[in-house]
Amino acid sequence: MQAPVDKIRVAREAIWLNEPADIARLRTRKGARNQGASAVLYAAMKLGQLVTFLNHLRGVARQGGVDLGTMKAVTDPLLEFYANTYGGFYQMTDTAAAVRQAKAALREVKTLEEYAALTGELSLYIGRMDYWVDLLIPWAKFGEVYEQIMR
Amino acid sequence: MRKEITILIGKEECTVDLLTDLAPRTCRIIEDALPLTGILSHAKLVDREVFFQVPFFIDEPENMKVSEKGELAYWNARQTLCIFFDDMVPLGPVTTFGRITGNLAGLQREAAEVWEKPGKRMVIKAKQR
Repeated sequence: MQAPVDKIRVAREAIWLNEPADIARLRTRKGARNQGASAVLYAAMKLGQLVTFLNHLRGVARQGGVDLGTMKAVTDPLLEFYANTYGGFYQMTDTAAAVRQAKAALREVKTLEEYAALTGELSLYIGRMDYWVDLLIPWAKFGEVYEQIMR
Repeated sequence: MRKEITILIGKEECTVDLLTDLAPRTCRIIEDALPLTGILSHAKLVDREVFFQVPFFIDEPENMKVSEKGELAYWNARQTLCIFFDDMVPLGPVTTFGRITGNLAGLQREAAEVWEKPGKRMVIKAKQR
């Protein structure tokens, strides 16, 4: 079980201070009317969602007293959904691969401690990706334009 | 015993007092993780707050309080170190573990730019004696 967690950790360390290749891929993604802003905003939203889910699930597992099989049954389709979304909608293929690695490793999880370690490591990776995507959003300009439009 | 750490941001060097009496476990975890390098984002709902993600969880809350200007906190919902660099209205209580005691003005100059130019790097390291 430790090996898959380590693999995600190594992948996470590689993107910690160096911009991931997925960022360049995401920037090529055009949405409606051939603009990229909606893809970036939606990608950030989807990354943040998974971090929230993972952190809460990890917290429940750490408290104990829950059924591991149920935790895995809840987590598996979430990981499937987000892996497909990251890879398919936003071209973030490395991120999708990391989520799929976690999904495959989930089958081998034997204890709640292992479950918490796996979901925790994946959460750190996805969280880091989320903050990289956040840097693509020109919040200052966006805020100014929003206020002008909504006036 | 008073414990200090150092923040490096841009050209500025700032001193932080660790609140070891109020948040001893958190301070120990932070100290053990030093040096920490972060890529800063500006908070979106709270004004005058910058933050960066750290690669660890601190699961037991400690010294939970609504942060004030010049304080450092850990937010476990997103594994981030939050630096409240000026007057602001925080969202709620967080694990508060440090207080800037040296060169807050320098930090304010550098951190204020993060709203317009996110991605600035910050290093937090042990204080050189």
